[in-house]
Amino acid sequence: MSHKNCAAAFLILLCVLFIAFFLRVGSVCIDSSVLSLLPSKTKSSVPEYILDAYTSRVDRQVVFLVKDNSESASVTYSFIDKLKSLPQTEKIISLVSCEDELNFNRFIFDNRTAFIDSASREKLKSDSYVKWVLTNIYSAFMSVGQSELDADPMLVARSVFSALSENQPFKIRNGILSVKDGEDTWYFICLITTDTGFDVKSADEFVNNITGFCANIKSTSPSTQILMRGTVFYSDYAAKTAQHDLKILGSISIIGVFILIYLMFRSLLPVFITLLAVCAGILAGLSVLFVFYDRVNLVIIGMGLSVVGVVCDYSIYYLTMYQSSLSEGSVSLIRRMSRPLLFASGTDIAAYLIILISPVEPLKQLSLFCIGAISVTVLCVILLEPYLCTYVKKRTLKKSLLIEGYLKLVSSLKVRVVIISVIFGISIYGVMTIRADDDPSSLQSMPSELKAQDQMIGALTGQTSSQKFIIIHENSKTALLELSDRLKEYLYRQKEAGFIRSYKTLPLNSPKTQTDDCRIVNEKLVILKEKLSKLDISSRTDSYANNSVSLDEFFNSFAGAHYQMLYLEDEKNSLYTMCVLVDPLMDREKLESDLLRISDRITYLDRRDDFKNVFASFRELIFYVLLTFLAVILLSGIIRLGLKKGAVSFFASLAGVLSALGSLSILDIKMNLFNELALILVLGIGINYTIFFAGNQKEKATAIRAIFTALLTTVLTVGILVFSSVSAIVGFATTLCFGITVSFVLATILPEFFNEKNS
Amino acid sequence: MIRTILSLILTLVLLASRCTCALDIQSIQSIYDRKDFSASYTQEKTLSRQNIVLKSSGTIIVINQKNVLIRQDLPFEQEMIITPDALIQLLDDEKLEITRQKNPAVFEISNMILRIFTTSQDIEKYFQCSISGSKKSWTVTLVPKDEILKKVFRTISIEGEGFLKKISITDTSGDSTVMNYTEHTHILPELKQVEREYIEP
Repeated sequence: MSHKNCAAAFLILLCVLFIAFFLRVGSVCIDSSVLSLLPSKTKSSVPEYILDAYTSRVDRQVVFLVKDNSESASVTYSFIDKLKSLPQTEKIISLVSCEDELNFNRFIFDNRTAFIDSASREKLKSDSYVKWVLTNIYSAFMSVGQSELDADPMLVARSVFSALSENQPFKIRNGILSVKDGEDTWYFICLITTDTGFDVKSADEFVNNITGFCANIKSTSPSTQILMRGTVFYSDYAAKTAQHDLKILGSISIIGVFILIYLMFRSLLPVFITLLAVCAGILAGLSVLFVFYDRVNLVIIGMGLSVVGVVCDYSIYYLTMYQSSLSEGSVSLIRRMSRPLLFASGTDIAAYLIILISPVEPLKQLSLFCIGAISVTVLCVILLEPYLCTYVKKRTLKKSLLIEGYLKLVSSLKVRVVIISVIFGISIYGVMTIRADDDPSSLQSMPSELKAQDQMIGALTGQTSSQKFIIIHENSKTALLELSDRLKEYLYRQKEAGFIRSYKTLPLNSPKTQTDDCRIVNEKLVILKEKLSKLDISSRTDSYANNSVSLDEFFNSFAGAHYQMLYLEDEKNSLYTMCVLVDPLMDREKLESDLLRISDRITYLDRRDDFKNVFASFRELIFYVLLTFLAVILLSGIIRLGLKKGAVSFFASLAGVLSALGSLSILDIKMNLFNELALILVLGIGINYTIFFAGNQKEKATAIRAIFTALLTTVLTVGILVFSSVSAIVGFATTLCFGITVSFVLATILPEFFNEKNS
Repeated sequence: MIRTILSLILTLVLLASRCTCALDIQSIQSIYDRKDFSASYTQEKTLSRQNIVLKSSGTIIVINQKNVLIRQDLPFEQEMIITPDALIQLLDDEKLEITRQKNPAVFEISNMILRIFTTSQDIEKYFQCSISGSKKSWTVTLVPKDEILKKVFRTISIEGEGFLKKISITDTSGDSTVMNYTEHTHILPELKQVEREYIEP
């Protein structure tokens, strides 16, 4: 079949793929959640939109602590007024007037038997409870007086309020929640931002305004200190960092690539031809994916896009060779080059084909995408580019002093041995010292100032980042409260045993528990009244009424308003959920299995741990991908080049990977999922260099120019990211740059050993 | 002339003696017996509405100026241990512990008790103090400054000589409690195991 016919057939195939893409793109669901990559058994039974709603509530909270030792908290009130003026502020929830406090206390007191906690219930049931009441009556310091004896002889409200204020460092001073730190008073301000229209721009405006307010207050009242904590500050920092990186590094990268390609080709047309081939490959990859899958994960596509670094080299090689071969036509050149190109791409495709048989669904998607992208790009280069190249002007490439000097240097045996020894040394160091860190917090370093404030706020308020969430859900409000009762009982037992540091939950009990508790109180009241009558003490309470407070009544009260953030209802779907804050000291696995025993409608949420598990499991999977890739390189090398040369080619690839590990160790960067993905690229790009250089020994200078251009474009586009502020990106870029540089060096010096032998 | 001089001298002597008799909290603290001691106490708590008096008695032990043990014997046995970090009620075999971390609001009360029993150095930070009497027999009247304690206690008065004699507490509800301390001794009774667990050295 002639080249033209093959090209035409390929064009038809491309059209079919693109039609398939446009037909399927509307019906394929793109999932952007990293957590949906988790194996299904660990996934939550709570719908994702509920978890998102809780996460959004946490994200909308901004906390300030203002150190203000003035009598009337005037500085704090001035700050609050400024915060209220911001369009992004929905409300501030830590202001408590005397009337609010009275309403809160009155509601709890009037319905005290509805809020009895587990510890108080246990005490109430004990035989010594009545005696304990008498102890308090007799005590000079517990101030149980006649008014309390008349209204609440069983001292139920006292126990309830004591439980509600447990582990709460807050006191109301000047109408604001506050904590004391020695002599200093810190006022606690909790601001809730609006839930709509809060994009990157408005977040930036919000943060800038707050920074301005703080500076203003500091100038008028130097002794005042303001601490702040909130997702908005971290995301604003990340956005500013990304914008900075994009602006500066992105500009340098794009300008650099254009200058480089123009210097190499004296034309911008090769850039567009390369872009065309790469885009066709990506679209083809997506088409293949959409044909076989109804639900595709965006994270997998993002990981797959890293294959761009591999496939753009095919175009660069061909275009360099075409421009420099003054007499050879584009089609005859591609016939000569198609063998090494097909070998290089074939090695990559073979590795991904093996990964395709893995049982892990996301990995299957990744390999399918990459197979599609690589296949179509290389076919684009072989079948279509020869026709597009006719518009690229050929020119005699001037001798490059740099390349000539490099070739002269590596022709010396001593130099080659030294280079290989250094690479070997770095590789061994890498293998022995590399450590993994899958913690999401290691992917981007928090600004130290925000971190310090976060820690101080945690120390003063007791609200630390070690707090986790338990979500419970039921199909009715009553069932939800009953499940909450069972969970509260479990958490109380674990806390008594020392497995949980603290927990915060809705204090309202289920109707059944309220009735039972009221019955127990009244039973004990009979005994107490008998004892009191012997002391001639009377009480105006003959029995406690069971007011049976419902969930709606609770949330409509001032007391309930404080707990609104913990509750979510979706009446349309009969789904009612409650969030419990817990600070566990036990193993996650033990806690989850205990919770499952209570009910399968309880989910333990530890987002940070979940992300860590996803990253760790993927890092392990990618490791097997790497091993597969290496095995394929070894096998294909042996088949193609024979045992000796094949083994040498394999060790070159291996050395590229291991020395990249060594570079990470030297720079004290730990291994994670992103660095491992870079290692796959090192292998993919490295094998391109090896095959291409080995296959063009007669045109050494041109071949080296081609792969040097490919190396420089990768360094300029990805390597510049070594200067990024994001740790994960720095690790990825370092691994890639070091790995492909070593691959380039080994690709160019190893054939010299065989050339010497032959000569 | 001589009469004028004599009356002037008398006035000056009187003035001088008044100055030497003037008391402040520091001078009370300087004469207060700070050694570990135990004493017997009787307590009468009056519930104002019914005009009922609840009587109790027992032993009080103060150790290292920061641990107070109140062992009640009558009308039933119970004990309260107050340390800088915890308030513990012991009743039969049961124990109720309130720590600063667990319940800061309730803990304020136990802190107040400690300050009263030890007339601690920083008492003026937490109470408005007024003093009457002499060094031989003094009365310190305390009014709480803390917002929560103000809502509960109207006044607390401490009477003493070199040692604590009497504490009178008037609640804002009108109820009152009077505790009399006698048979002071520096020889402490044997401490129970549970008491030793909580006492701070």
